[in-house]
Amino acid sequence: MAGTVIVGAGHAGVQAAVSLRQAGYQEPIRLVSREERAPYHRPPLSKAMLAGEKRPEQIVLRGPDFFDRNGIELMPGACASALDPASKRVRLADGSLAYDKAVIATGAGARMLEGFRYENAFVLRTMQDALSLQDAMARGANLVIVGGGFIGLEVAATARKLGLSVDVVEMQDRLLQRAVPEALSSYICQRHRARGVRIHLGAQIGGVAASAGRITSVELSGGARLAADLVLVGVGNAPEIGLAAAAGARTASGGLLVDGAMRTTLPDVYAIGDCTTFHLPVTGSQVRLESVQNAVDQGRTAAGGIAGQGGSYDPVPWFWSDQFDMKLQMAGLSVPGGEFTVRGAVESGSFSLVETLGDRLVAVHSVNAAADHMASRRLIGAPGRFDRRAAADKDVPLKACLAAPMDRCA
Amino acid sequence: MTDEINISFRTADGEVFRVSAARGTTVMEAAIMNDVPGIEAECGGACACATCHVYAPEGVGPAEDEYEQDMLDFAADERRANSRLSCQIELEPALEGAVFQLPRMQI
Repeated sequence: MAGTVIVGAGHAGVQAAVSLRQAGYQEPIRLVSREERAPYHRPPLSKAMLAGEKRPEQIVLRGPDFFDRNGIELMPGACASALDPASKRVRLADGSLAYDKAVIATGAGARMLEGFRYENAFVLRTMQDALSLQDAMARGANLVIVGGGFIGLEVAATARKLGLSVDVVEMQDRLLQRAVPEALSSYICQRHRARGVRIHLGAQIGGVAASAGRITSVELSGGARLAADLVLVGVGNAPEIGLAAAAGARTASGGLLVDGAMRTTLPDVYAIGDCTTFHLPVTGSQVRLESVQNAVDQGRTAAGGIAGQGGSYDPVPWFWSDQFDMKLQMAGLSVPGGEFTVRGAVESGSFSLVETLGDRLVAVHSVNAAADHMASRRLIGAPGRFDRRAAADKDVPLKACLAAPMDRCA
Repeated sequence: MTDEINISFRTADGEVFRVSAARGTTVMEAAIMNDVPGIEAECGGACACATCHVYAPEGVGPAEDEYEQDMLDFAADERRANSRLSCQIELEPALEGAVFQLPRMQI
């Protein structure tokens, strides 16, 4: 048996390998990793690792002996260049790997903006990116961040803690526009400003001034000049779909289209994590998600299918972000027309925005409110009417706001 | 090395894993780096997932942080007085020889 070849050793790929072994899968497993270093957690790259509070070896996904011990052949520094579903082989730079099942876990790559290709402009996606950025932050005083998304804001918070001067340039008129409700955007903006981050909303980049291959300032179209020793470009990611798309896999919304079992449209080829687009049962919509939860749970689902245990992907999506003293935790996905109820006192720094549509709970956006977040992960999508007025009282547990569906008499 | 601290993990089935790790490493990281089964640590130590739940030995003390306490309420296995999230406990000399009991499940 040729076994399973997993391309990509991020959260999704590693979880798929681990879950296959946990499910009793006996065939060979090969884990093709473009990076030389052992697989690691990505979230600390913008926070504890960047701040120097964690060393790279502290954020590994598994210990150094794990893969050998579990019969998983980790292939570091290997680049998959083609997928041939007819002969069932993955081509590498030096030879090819036969597979019974292939799992595409290639993730997404950070977008760099044209016009910013200078030696002191960075993106942040990999450990190497984090180490390079960390090095530049240690030597520079003025950091300009292009993009007010999660990566930009997390790095802004870390950089302020390290004493850098920070400007964040956001094109939209609010931060985190695609990820959080407006009220939360303005709260986060206020908290950053209170900690000395200069945030420029609705700002267009006019250009950069450079000297000797380095950016010296970023100019806004209104004329403002932001002095820069280094620049972080945090304008999102592009899913890495080339391998499977070139082999004919169907794509949607930029990702590889997968069904509830994580199967692509190619026979015996699965895809998981940031590079997939799928139908999310709890919202009834087609989505592409970039999160640890999505990567890990899709890895588990694909492994279950390959190992013959079945299972369909039906999660409540959740993710988190840590910025200054704010622990942001989001469960569910915002919907157009969602109504918001504030739970807890915003001034206390611990509250949630409870999002409902009619009598359905669709999402809970929490700031320093772990209990709300954890409860909502169980309540979103559960049957019954959700009472948003009751949820406004933080002393009423969220689960008490959900009335069990009434039994109907025949 | 005086900076290496030895601790053990006992699984729900009674198997014992002895590990050593540097001072300042968290108990969760010590488990992961040494392939101790039964710690998931999905969030990698951000106190965001409650999948590194342990029953701590005497001397570690209960969770004092309200946030950790709230997360523990949602751990997959039974919460006890000595329940902790192992990502929130840093190794220090006083923990030399400590034995952490693992719950039956994390998810």
